[in-house]
Amino acid sequence: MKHLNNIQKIIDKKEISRYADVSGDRNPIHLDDEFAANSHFGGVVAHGMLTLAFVSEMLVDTFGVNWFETGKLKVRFKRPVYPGNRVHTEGKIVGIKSDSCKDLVSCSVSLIDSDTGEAIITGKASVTIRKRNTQID
Amino acid sequence: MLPNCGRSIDLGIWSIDVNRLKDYFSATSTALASRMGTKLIPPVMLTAEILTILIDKLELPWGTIHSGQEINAYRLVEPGQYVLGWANASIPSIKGQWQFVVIDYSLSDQTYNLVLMGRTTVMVPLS
Repeated sequence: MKHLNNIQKIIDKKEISRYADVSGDRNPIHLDDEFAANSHFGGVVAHGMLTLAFVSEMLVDTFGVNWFETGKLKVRFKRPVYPGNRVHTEGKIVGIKSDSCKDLVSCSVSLIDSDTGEAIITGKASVTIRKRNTQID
Repeated sequence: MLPNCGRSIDLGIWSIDVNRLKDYFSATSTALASRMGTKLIPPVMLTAEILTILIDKLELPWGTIHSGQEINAYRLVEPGQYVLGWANASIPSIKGQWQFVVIDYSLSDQTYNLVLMGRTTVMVPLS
């Protein structure tokens, strides 16, 4: 069973702030220490879509443009990521369905807290890879 | 109740330019730019763009939590290419101090070829 290359990150407040600027999501649970301290999370947390970008990077690293064109992803955000957290992605191919034209590759994917081993994101992904035509001379 | 729940939501017509794409790569600190260049928009970035529109259309309050995400990509999108989309947000279901809202959306190119479909689940605080 093939494991996908894992991507390692450390998330800081500057990165969260930059993502808020780019995405337009300025929910104070991502930016305001006082607001976030009184929230469900107890402190500022990274955007879910920021952390999902790391999972996407792992899939692009493995499948290239096929991921952009045919990728399917279904995940749950299980735990927040706080500034200073070290995280890494994990993924493995769990099945391949083939026909004459293409392979449908299914994977399990996750983002893990590197210090505690707890899952931050869990889910599955799939991508379709067209087979190259082979010519016999 | 959140506005626009239970009805179609117009996501508008928009595009992402190269500079915005570069900013996204910079903000997500991914190696995508070197791996894929800046010729294609990642589906995750298109989804993030849709979520920003939905935050506004649904007037999602501060404290809303993103709990689940589905993304299904069907076509490549280039910087500067216009896309248009629609979403449907469920009537919230209430559990404890939270409202659960499921939002389904689709994005097409200008010739109405499907580009992306997805589903976002959010938890909205009741108070």
